Amino acid sequence: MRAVPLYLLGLLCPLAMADLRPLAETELEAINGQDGLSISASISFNANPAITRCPGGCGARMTIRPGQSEGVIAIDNIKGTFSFDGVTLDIVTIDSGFDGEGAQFNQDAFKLGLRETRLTDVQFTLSGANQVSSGPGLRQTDLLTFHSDGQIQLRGDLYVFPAP
Amino acid sequence: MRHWIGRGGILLLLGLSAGAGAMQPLDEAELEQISGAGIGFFLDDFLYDKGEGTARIEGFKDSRNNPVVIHLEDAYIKGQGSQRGTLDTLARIGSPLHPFRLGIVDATQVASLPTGVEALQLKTPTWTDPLNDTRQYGLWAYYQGCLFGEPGCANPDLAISKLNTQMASLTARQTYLQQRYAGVGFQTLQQEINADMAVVQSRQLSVDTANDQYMIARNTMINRHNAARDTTIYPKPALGEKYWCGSACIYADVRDYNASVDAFNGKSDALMTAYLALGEAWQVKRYGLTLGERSQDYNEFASLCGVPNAEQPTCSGGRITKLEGDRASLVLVSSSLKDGKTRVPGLDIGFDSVFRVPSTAWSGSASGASMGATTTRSDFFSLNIEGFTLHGSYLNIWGNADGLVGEVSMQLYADKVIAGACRSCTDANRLVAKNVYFDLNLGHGRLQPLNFSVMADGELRFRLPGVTWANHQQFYAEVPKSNVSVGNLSLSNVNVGSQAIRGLRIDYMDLRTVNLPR
Repeated sequence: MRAVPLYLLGLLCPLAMADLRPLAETELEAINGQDGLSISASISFNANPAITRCPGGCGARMTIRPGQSEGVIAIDNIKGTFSFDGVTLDIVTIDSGFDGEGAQFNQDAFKLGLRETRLTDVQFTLSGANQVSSGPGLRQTDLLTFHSDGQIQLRGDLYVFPAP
Repeated sequence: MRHWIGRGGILLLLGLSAGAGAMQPLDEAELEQISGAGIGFFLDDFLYDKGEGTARIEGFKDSRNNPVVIHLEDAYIKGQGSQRGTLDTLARIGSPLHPFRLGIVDATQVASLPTGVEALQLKTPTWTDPLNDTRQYGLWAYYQGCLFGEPGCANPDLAISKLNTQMASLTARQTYLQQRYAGVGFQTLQQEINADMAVVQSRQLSVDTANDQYMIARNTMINRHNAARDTTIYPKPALGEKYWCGSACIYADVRDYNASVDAFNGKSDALMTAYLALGEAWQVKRYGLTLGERSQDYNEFASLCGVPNAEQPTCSGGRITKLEGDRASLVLVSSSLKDGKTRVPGLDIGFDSVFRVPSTAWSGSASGASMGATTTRSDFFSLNIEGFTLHGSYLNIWGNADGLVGEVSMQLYADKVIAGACRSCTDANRLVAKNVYFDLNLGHGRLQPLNFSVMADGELRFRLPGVTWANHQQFYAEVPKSNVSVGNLSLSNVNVGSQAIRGLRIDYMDLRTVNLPR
């Protein structure tokens, strides 16, 4: 199709507005409450053999500085694969259920659902460190390391909404 | 194709402008609702079970520098009634009308925060009815002792009758004391105690002075005894006894020692006299009662009823008033239970763990034991918590030069906590605590902010600044106290009864991790 001159567009507009306004609203209302998004995801953190601080190379490192502390809390050497099956994202209207609280609540909420989780050789170390970087000068106290492997059961629906 | 996109874009714009007329009022109302609000959230149909996977915690070392690995055999977080994780009961943590709330608060909303500070607040689901208000239910559960609903624990008024028994013994003491001093009056009693105590205090000072002089004389005597000769003609006597020559001795060291024994005996007598005088001061009688008795009675009355504010005072504080205050909560909880109301179900949490530690075999008697081979021993530890709730807790945090600062109130309640060290045994061989309530309050935004920081060497530090002279009055009036109570504790089927720590407050704390060199 060839390009339509702009003035034609100008003519079309008022018509379109008159026709579409009521439709748009009802359509939007109809769409509300339909199926959300379903995701299956697998997230892998691989060890970097170039970093020799940890046996076999270190995984990812995440640090948090509490307030204006001199040091940081480090979640260090994060390795392994996190697989999530049946993650759903949805906006739902809670207007029933929940032992009668749903009807009173009668609001929309963002719903994040999770059905199945699998951890493959997942590990992380909780530490306190003097600096963010794991480079030279690092002084770190490892508190504990958690390691998990295999199918675990982790499920639940998280509802989030604005609260007064 | 381009013009379709173009037209679509313009249509969309027009649609929006037209829609705005219709939608504006809604938007504003919604925005008004949202403005200044926090985020609410809750979890439904929640379940965690370690299942077929493996889980372990590493990073510990034993005394021989070998790593200790804790293997988690079972771990679960499920809904209440899961029978220690064997059933897949789904949990609901919070609800639409009682969610977790994450938001910003300041001094106008939370009085304990410093002016000008905006803190991030996380509040756990909070109920105000007596059964789900942890403070009220926790108090009732402590008095009740047994776990409501278990065999033999169907009467919710048991808590009240236990309180009544305690109250009866306290009021009996109150009545006895009031009758004993009916003709005197408690304010007169106090004035007379104060007058008599002035004598006690001055005599205590005399005792202190006499004691100092006694110690000096004793040290002098010991030093001179050490320095004095021990010969055939002048054999050294035992400490405190004199050389035979008395005051006619030739040698100065012998003479000096003999003189120091006399001086010591003199100071010793003076100290004894001072102690006797102090003892007499405590025995001073008024209306047939010694100062010691009167003082003890007055303190007991103050502890029962608060410091007397009249000659014939009524209870204005103290244990009786506190117990009376507890009664109100107990009545509310028990009548709710009698109405058939129930608590919002909590969580069941638990794990079984196995770890290996070195174990040395010893043989022979206790006095002559010989050390045998050291092997590693496999140990088992399990913890199960039934009906756990966190209702009504909050955490307020903000950051400053000290690191993360905050105040926290934890309201932890559990129907049952079971700790075991045996894999295949029953609760008869475990530690079982029922009606466990931890009301932990740490930190006060203005007077004692809880401080968490990581130091320059990577070590963690938790700190509660100490009370100062400048803030001590406010400190003791406002900094919240903590309480821990257990309705019933049994250890391998030996019933230890109820346990409580009430009114605990930390004056100063500095807790830091240290990386041990091994």
